[in-house]
Amino acid sequence: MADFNPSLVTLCCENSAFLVAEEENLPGVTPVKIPCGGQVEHYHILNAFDQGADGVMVLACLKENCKHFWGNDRAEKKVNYVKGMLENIGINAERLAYSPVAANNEYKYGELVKEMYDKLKEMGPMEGKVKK
Amino acid sequence: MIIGERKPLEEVFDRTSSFNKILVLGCEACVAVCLAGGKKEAEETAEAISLHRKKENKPVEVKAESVQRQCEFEFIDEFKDLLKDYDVVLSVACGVGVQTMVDRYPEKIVLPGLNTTFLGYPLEQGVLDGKLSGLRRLCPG
Repeated sequence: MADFNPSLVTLCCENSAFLVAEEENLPGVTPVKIPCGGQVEHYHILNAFDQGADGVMVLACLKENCKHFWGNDRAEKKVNYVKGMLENIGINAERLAYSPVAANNEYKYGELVKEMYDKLKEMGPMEGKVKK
Repeated sequence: MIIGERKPLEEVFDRTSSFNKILVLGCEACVAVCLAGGKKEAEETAEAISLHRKKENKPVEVKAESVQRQCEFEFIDEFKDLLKDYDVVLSVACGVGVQTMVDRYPEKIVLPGLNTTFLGYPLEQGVLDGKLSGLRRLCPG
């Protein structure tokens, strides 16, 4: 899969991960600003896959650091629920990940995204995706 | 209030496999409160069907909509024109909603996408007292 360039969507909380994602401009990565991790709905994640993403990451605030108290915990729960749905659909659940990132931790954002990107590269295109 | 849970996705995929234009219809009353069949859940079911069919290389046109109360003719009449464009309606409302759709549009195929499991009144958030739980057996879902 050396010639395969995955498309990764990162759903980033505007209070933490998005502040970092704005600075980093990584190829193949599309950061999407969300008002809070808790605002991510199951269908937002599924829609990203449906629109052609090979992988999706939900990045919210650190534990007990959410401006809206439980947004990050909710995001994590929702990601775990959608992982179950993906398995039922027949898509590798490893294509979806949740991670907490601090607003000033560019290094961690870069690391997480690179790790996921490499994993997706190894996995190959999304199951059923039309290869161009 | 009526409580339900979405049918397993495998069952949903299996039942809708022969249709190419699917309308997933939610209900904003009881089943939206228990996070099983509202607009959001209709959207996620529609996305799941679309993704599954893409994976199977059998593209499908699927749309999610939600009606304020699927158990009343006045509300479902709003969707009369929209229904014409779809082969099948996958209703994620409770059994009453599904039966109301079937009564109102006997020419349409309406599939249930939700299991109606319980009815009762809320004692506190997320806790329901099933005084009429004997009726469970009568629920068509």
